[in-house]
Amino acid sequence: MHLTLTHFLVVGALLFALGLVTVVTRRNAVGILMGVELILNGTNVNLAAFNHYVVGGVSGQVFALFVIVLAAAEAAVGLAIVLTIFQSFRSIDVRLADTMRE
Amino acid sequence: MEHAAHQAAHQLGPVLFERVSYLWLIPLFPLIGATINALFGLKLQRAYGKKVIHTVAVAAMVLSLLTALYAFQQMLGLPADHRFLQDTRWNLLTAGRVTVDLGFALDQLSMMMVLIITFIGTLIHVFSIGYMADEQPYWRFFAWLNLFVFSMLLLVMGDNFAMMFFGWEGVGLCSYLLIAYYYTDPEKAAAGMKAFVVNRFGDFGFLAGLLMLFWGMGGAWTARDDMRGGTYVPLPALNATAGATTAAQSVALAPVIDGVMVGPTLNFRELRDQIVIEKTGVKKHLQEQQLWGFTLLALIGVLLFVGAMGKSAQLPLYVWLPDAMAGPTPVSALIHAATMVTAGVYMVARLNFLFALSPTAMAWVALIGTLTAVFAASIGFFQYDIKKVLAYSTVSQLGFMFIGVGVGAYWAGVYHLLTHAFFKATLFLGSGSVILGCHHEQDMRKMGGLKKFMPTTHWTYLVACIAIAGFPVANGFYSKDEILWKAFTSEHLTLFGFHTPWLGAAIYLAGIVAATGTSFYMFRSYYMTFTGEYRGGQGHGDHGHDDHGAHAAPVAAAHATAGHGGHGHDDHGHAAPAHDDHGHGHAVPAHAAAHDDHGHGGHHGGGTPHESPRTITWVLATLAIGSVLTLFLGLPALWTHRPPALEHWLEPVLLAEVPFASKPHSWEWIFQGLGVLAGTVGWVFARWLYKDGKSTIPATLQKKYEGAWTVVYNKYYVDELYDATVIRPSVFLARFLSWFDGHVIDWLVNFAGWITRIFANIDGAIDKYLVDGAVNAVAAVTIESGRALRKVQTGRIQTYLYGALAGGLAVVLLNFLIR
Amino acid sequence: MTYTGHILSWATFLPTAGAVVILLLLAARVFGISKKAVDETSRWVALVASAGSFAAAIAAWRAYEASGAGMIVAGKDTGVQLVERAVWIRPFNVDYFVGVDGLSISMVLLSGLISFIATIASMPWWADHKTKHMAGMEDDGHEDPHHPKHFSVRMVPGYMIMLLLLQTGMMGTFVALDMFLFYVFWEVMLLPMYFLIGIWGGPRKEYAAIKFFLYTLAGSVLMLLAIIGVYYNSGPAALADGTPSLHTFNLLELAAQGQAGQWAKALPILGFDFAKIVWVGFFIGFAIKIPMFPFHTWLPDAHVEAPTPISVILAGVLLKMGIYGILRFNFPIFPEATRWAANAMAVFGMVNIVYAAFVCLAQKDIKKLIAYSSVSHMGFSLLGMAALTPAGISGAVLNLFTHGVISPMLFLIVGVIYDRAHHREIERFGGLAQTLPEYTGLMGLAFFASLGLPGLCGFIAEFMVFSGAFPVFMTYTIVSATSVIITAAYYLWAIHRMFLGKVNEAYRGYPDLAWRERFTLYPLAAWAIFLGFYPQFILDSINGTLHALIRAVKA
Repeated sequence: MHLTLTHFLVVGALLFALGLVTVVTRRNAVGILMGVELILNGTNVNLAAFNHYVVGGVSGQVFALFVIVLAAAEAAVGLAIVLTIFQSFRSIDVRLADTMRE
Repeated sequence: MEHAAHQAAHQLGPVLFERVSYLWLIPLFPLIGATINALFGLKLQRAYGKKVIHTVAVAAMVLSLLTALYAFQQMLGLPADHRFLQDTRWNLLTAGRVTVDLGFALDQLSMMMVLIITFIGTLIHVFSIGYMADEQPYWRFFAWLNLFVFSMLLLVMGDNFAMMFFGWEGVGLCSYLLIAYYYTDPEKAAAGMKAFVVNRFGDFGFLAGLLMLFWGMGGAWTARDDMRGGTYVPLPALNATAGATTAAQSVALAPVIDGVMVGPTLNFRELRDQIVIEKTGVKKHLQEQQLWGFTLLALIGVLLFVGAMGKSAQLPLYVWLPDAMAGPTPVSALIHAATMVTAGVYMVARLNFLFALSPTAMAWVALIGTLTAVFAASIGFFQYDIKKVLAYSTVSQLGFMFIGVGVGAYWAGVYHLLTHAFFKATLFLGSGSVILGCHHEQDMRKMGGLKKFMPTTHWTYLVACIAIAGFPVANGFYSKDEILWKAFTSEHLTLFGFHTPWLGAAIYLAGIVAATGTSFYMFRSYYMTFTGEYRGGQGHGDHGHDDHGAHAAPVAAAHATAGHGGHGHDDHGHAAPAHDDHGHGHAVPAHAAAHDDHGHGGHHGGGTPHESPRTITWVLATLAIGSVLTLFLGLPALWTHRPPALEHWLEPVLLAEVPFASKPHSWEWIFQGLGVLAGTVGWVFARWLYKDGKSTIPATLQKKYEGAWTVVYNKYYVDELYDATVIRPSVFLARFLSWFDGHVIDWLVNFAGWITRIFANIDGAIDKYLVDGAVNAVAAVTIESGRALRKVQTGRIQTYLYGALAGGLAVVLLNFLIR
Repeated sequence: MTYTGHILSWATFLPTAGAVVILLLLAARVFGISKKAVDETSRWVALVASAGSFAAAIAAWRAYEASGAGMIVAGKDTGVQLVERAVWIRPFNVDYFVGVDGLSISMVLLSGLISFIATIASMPWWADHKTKHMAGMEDDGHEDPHHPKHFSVRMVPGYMIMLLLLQTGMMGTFVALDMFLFYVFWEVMLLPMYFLIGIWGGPRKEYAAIKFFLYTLAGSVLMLLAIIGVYYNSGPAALADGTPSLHTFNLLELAAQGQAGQWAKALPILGFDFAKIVWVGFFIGFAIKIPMFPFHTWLPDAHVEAPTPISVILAGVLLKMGIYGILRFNFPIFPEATRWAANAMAVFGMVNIVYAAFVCLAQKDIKKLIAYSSVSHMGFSLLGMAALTPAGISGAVLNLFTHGVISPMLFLIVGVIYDRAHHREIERFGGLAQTLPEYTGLMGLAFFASLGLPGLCGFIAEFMVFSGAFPVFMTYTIVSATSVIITAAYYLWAIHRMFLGKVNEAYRGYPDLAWRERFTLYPLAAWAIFLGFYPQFILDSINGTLHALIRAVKA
């Protein structure tokens, strides 16, 4: 079977959609962070695929690498925030952390 | 004799006068005395006793009398037509032609008055030393008495209407103060008030008459050509005087005709000159003028006479005089008999040249005088209070004086004034002596037999009774006879525009009836007081006291509101316990208390009468002798073939031409005889009914004519009439206007305020709910919508993401759909 | 004009200076000066300031030359003396222009005198020991309900400041010869009066104060409109320094223009003649102050509630401003309209005289009785000046002065008995003559002066008014003259009920006059007698101006 760009895009879109659903629906802050990872990885698939089929060179892969590093950093900061939330609310349920509403 | 005046009038020129500079001293001395006693009297009396008080007062009077005598002596040294002393002190006020000087003038008439006032005044001051000795506010009495003399002198000596009015009101004030001397007794205080207010009715007339005279003389600066007749001084010339700001300017600007300043004036001398000198045209001008359909001069005369009515107690304004007896007796003698009440007569005599121009005015004067003479005499018949009898007698005698000046017998009226001053002062002071002797008893039913206790008082009283009754041995006969004879012969009087020659005879008839009555009630008072047994402290005798009691109680109640002391004697001397069952018990405690205030103690009805001290008896004797001696001033021409001395003396002043019918001498003799007969009839009846208090006829008669007696005894209910017609309506009007003021005028003001408040509230509501409401509505919508939208902001990222997704989806969908 | 002094300004502004000093004293309390010291000092300051003003008024009276008495008539500043003039507000053509003529000089003297007397009467001093507790002298901290303190013990500095400002307003009103300046002074007078009645007054003081203030203000509004109307219809004139101006507030200039027929050029208002409308505007404004029936009802309330010295000023000076204003504005500026309205003025005068006299007869409160008698007596002035005769107008102005002497005396007399008995109901007194002889004597003098007894000053004015008015208004004068009876009746009846009769035991212990009361009553009594026998003292000064005035009006 010949792999075309479309296959990669479908996988990327699925990853993005799953990440988005996770982010929107999860109440657990760690779960949301994981959803964010999925969205970022969906993006990475797209970057690599477009680089290979359309542009050429390595700039796409480099971007993907940047995203991976960024995701790592994001996860670190996100987890720190989650910890702080936990300390404040004794829970990591994001519904509780709506105090900035007012 | 009247033709003399007739002839003289045609050659009259201006008054020739002598300027002197001491006349002001005559009233000044009493003023000083009054000031000292009024300001420092209380302290002086406390520190040095009563002696200082009366020394000051009497000294003032004596000095005044001496000055007057000096003026008299100077006047005698002048030729008869030159006897006019003028003393102008300073200009009181000037505004246009209204100039008033503080000026004094003495002519023969005012000289006579000044001598009467100072002479009798001095005697009465001396009398008061003894009479008032028990009174605590001694200083007050003498201060007011001196002030009275000052005012009275101002009245007669003032050279213009304003000064006369100064005195006129001043004597009214002093009369008020002295009647209300025992002011702790509300009835006596009310009597003072009544005197002043009734006199103010007269003053109103006086003022109105004066204003009309002033206007008639040309005091109108606006053109009223319709009211101005004849060829009088051109208006512009008079108008020029309107600009005068000082007295000198006023004189300089006044138009002069034939050497006489014409135009409005308040000065008697200037007025006289203008009117009597015919070339000025003033007389003609005045006679031609009309006002409100009346002849101006008649109106002036009647209105001025209204002033005299008040002061001289004529019908219908006489009501205050009987009540004025509430004052101490010397006051009654000086003010309410000898001097003040004659002010009206003096005024008419002073203005004889004016009154003579209007037969109507003169007829009214004479008519009112006659009615008063008869009316008052009839009330005098049945009074029991000795002072009330004298009071009504005074009213009646004043009526005689007005008959005199009314019919044109000016000198006779003035002569009666003089004789009356003597005999009535004697009578009043005699009654004062009796009252003092009987321990402040005034009811004649409780006197009697005083002849033996008080010999001097007795004979002086008798002399005065003879004088007033009209027996030729004393002065009263001469003046009364002259008045009645002149009244009979007068034939120029006019009533309501109709010539009424019969009026003279009618007046004569009424006068002779009044004279008979006078003789009756005076001798009645004499017999009740001095003959028979002394009844003080014992029973009342048989004078129908029970009936009297029955009448007095309701009447006294009726009087209580108006506050006149009509039954003053009820308050006196019913202290004897025997009379409590006569319904008088109520009067006793109040009376006793009142007298305790005066410090009399309670001697009522007890003790023996005693003769008064020498200051009193000597004064009585002097006055009684005077009552006889003054007859020589008026010996009729019929007897002596020359004018009576007083007529001759007064001729230059009383110069009005009044025509009298000439009757034969035999008539005159007959009329003199009739006069004596009248006196005798009255005397005989009085002697028959009242001598020694033995006759029972008076009581029988009284029972028989119960109704009539009650009406007369209660003075024809005139006081009640006044109460119903004047006092009550006035008070009602006052109450109504006060209510009107508070409930209508002020209500309107408050209503305006209320309306404003209502408008303000409506306006406030509009502002609050409409204008401000719109502003608030904008804010409210903003807030409410914000509150609603705020629910969207949950604070949860996920919600926002839903929103973002929904938005993105919508954009994508729309992209497809719209394309 | 060679006169360069400032007598009139001194007379006017010395009280203001006093008020400023008292303000500074109040400020000085920051430095720890005690309240008591401030109170005492402010009393002295007020006394000195008003004495100074009175002295200046006397100096003005002496400096005024009656012989040179000119008039506000033929225009310009001839005849007006002691003039001070400078440009004040240039854009509006307003001058500071003061001066006196025969009309105002007597009022200046009266205003100085009455202000001084009222200031003395405001002091709680000079009461002897017996009256001390009654006058509320002792400051022992607690209020005795039966003997409340002397009214002026409360908020002394404030009271004195108001009193002094009031004096400035009064004096200024009488000397101002610039319409704008006049209006300013007129209003300056109003406010202190409001506070004096509203704070230091009796039980219904707020009502009375507001009624007084609003009523007078309503009049002021009409006056202000009239002033504006006159200003914009006036012809060109010059300011103090010679700058030409299109319109003018200068009263002398306006009088000259008015007499020359300036108002004929003005457009009618609502179809009515300009001069008549403006005349009525001024007249109502002043009539409220007189007070003229039917605008008089504020007066009894104000008098009854006002403390004694304020009643004194109110009756003695403020009421005079109505008549003064009419003679200063309506007469010279609108001669034609004045002639047109003379009859109406006389009718109102008559109604005032008789109506108020009857109302007096029914009064139960002695102060109200006297207040209404003031209404009655001011009617004489209206009647007299409406006649436009020399005696009438001189009598009218003399009446201002004599009433200005008598009515303060009457109110002081009421104050004396109120200080002792704390009520004023006629019926509840009785026999006071026995208890208070000296007081009774002065009362008698004042009452008889007021009822027009010859020899006392009230009579002279009354007599002149009658003799002046009679030739012109016969019926009105005769009807008015009935007041001599009613007046006598209500005064004597009041005397009868209050002073005569049995001694009322409740009042037996009362002390007779204290020195403060003597200081105020005796000078006025002396004036009453002096003017009764020598009214020419006043007439000499006023005649010239007034007679020229009526000549101008009648021309």
